[in-house]
Amino acid sequence: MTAFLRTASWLLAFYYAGTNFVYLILFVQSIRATVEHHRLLKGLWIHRVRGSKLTPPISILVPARNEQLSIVESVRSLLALDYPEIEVIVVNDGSTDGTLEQLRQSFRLVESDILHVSEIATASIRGVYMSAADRRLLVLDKESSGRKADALNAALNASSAPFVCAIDADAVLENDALLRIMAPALNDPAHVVASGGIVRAANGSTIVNGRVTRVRLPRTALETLQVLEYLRSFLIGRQGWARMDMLLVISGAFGVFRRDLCKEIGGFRNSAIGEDMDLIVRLHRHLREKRGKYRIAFVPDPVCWTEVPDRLGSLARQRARWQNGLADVLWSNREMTLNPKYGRIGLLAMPYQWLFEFLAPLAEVLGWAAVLVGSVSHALDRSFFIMYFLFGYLFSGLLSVGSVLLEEMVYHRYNDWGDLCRLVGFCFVEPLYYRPLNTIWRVQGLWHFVTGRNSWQLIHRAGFGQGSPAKEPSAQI
Amino acid sequence: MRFDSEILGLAAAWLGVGVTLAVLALLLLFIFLRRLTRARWFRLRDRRGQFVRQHWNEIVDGDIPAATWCFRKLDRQIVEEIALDRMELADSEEAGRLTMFFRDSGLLDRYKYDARKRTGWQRRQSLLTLGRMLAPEALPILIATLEDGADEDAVAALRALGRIGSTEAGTAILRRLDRPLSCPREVVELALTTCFRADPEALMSHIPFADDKIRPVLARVLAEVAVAGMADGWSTLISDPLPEVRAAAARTLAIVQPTGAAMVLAMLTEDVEWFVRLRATAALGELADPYTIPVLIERLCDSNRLVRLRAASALVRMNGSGFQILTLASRTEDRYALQALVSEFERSGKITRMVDGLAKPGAAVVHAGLITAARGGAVRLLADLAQRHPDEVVRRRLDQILEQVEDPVAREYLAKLRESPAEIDETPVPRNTAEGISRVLTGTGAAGRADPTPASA
Repeated sequence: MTAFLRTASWLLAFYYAGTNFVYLILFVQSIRATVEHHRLLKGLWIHRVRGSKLTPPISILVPARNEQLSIVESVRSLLALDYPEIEVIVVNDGSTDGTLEQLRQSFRLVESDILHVSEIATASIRGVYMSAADRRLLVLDKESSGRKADALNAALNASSAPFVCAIDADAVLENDALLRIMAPALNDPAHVVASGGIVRAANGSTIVNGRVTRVRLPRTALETLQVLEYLRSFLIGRQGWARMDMLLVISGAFGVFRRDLCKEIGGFRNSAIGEDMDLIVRLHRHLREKRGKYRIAFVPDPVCWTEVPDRLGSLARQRARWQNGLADVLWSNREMTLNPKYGRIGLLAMPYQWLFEFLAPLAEVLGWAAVLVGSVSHALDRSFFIMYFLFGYLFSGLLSVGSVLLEEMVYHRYNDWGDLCRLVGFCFVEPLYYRPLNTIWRVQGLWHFVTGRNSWQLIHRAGFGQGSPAKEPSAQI
Repeated sequence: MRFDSEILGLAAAWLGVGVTLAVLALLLLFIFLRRLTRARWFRLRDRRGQFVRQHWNEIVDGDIPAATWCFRKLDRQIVEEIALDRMELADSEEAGRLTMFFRDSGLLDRYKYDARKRTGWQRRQSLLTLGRMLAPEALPILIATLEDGADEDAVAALRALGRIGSTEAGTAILRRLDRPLSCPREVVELALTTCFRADPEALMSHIPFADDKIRPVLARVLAEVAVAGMADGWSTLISDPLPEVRAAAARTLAIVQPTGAAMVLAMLTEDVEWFVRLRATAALGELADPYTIPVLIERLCDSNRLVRLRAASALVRMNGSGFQILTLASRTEDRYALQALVSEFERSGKITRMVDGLAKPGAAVVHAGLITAARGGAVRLLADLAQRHPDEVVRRRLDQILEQVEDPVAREYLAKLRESPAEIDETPVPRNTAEGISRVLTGTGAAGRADPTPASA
């Protein structure tokens, strides 16, 4: 028993050291990426991009299922975005509420005879509507297949611009978000194939006419902890991975992709649970197999605001689904792992995902079990355990404080002193309260993956301005 | 051994805790101190900014000597930013004044020095700032960097030259393009467009000598900067072996509009490449010459959908020839062609206007035209109008037309409308028509309902 415990504790110690080492690298890389990005923006002269005829048009794809509370506000904010040429394609994915009716009334939709060619197979399209109020708006009414990917594919079929931007129907973009997210593509159009932006929690903030007018932290601990988690995930995780050209996730809530490449790989995979990560992994795969030079970028300042769940049940379902989605993507692309053909994606990024994301909840549970068995059998060296626990706790806090530092230094959205103090305070609460819960939800997600349970569970939403639950951008580091 | 490993592990943990704690304390201190100083810094910046704006003229004219502000970093940054921003919007008189200011204050020399001596992003930033200053003295250093600098520096120099936008800068860019340069095509196009805007003929003289990689870029830029009445030179482009150049030539022709342009464009509409045909068709639409109608009708039957749509849109822009165009299109016996044309007529609001003509003298021609339109796919719109048009004569005649067309969709649609008139708005909004859209936007349609869409949309 003692030998087992000793082996387990050393294994876990190495595992833990490995995780923290990767996080440290990501932290350093994210600081460098932030500095580089700001230098790029300084020289890009965004106002000239805004006025240039050569700026590539973007089709914004908005899948909407039972979004009657927020859809009109969202579409309005999208149509008012600061970008030279956009088209907004909303897909009413078999909503059972008044989503289509809301759109019909607010934007004077008229049914159109436009031919919709399903280059990528989707569930059948019931109708195509154009807006009499704004010709840039196109609405597709389709049968639901229960998959967001299917709705995105329908919008992809109808899109006409060289770049497509997939966003969630309940998301609110900042006015110049598209100009900013396109910065890498405008700077290097030959190589940048996709670009992701940062997603932030809108809970607690004031939203007027589809614009965030005042940024505040949410009131409840659960929501604030998610704010912190998003900051850490995007500002350190995504940014760090992108700096090393190994970004595997662009949030489904806000990302821009080259349309031709999306179509080449058959669009979003219908059976995927995490269709956003799946698309990026398949893009990597496709481009690596073609031996093309390419880049998938992450831009930290075009902000997309979204609601995060304020109820434990919704959050648990959401996190279980993310873990299930991660497992699904890794499993369906398992040939890429440790395959030199896929370069650093196959040799570094994929093994990291398997080892430190897929297995992380199991390792944590194993750690707890080892501690429990050790204490019961008096084999646990208390001083040793306390020191490691303290180190882990402080290091976790350090990473969170690091993301708050990046936010404070560069983006500076939370201007209130009280918000800053709360945010820093929650950096030290998170490892004790939120992280164990997250581990349980992620184990549930793995169980769902093993048992093949992957149905889409609707999350109740109250709409913007009423401070309520929401959606799913992947938020793991 | 066991003792050693335990001691080692414990020591590592202690070290880890100590270092993490120290870094954590530093980070927290930094965050809070930074926020404190930041607030102070903003207050100071606002105060200095206000002072600079209040005394702007004295600063620019040199009444306040440069020595009083250029050695203080914050003041210098504020003055620089304001001056460069003003330069973007300045007229020629103000631009001259600001250029003198850049020279006299030493800012120009400072950036020239930085562009020569600094490295990395600081050098690139200096090059870009020199471009924003629009000073001719900056040209030699920018051209030298473009010629000899590393790729990233060369791109910064290219953008700065594009900002200056003189023919000399443009010629230097063209010279550099003879050698490979890792730079986005759009950046080169934008820079050349600014440089040759005032003198497109200078660009035209370069195109025949450019290689196959650069010629399409130059041809595209020419299409952007071309002006009506420009001297000949485009004629070599229309027979260029590269389709991109021929397409750009078609665009140029639509702007220059030389004698015989319609004939040349008609020839280009038969090009093997679809996008050359597309550009030529669009250019013919720009000419709006009724003699080109037969060519455009032919393009309505093109194998490429986009060409067909563009031909339809060009035909709709021909003034006063609606019935003849519809008749000619129906003679092609190409249902796709007719449908494309009718949709375009519908979108432009011409069919609604034609329908109004049913109550006027000469209704027989209108009648024939509308039958063609109905057979081409305008049944729903006509059925809508048959139900809602305010003029009874028009409604009756539309009924006759729909009966004559014998379209089951029309019959079903009419029956449905007549069964449930309550579901229908009192004021019809013509589907997909410009008139309908403008009516909605001006708030005169659909029983005066308030339009919730914001004005910006």
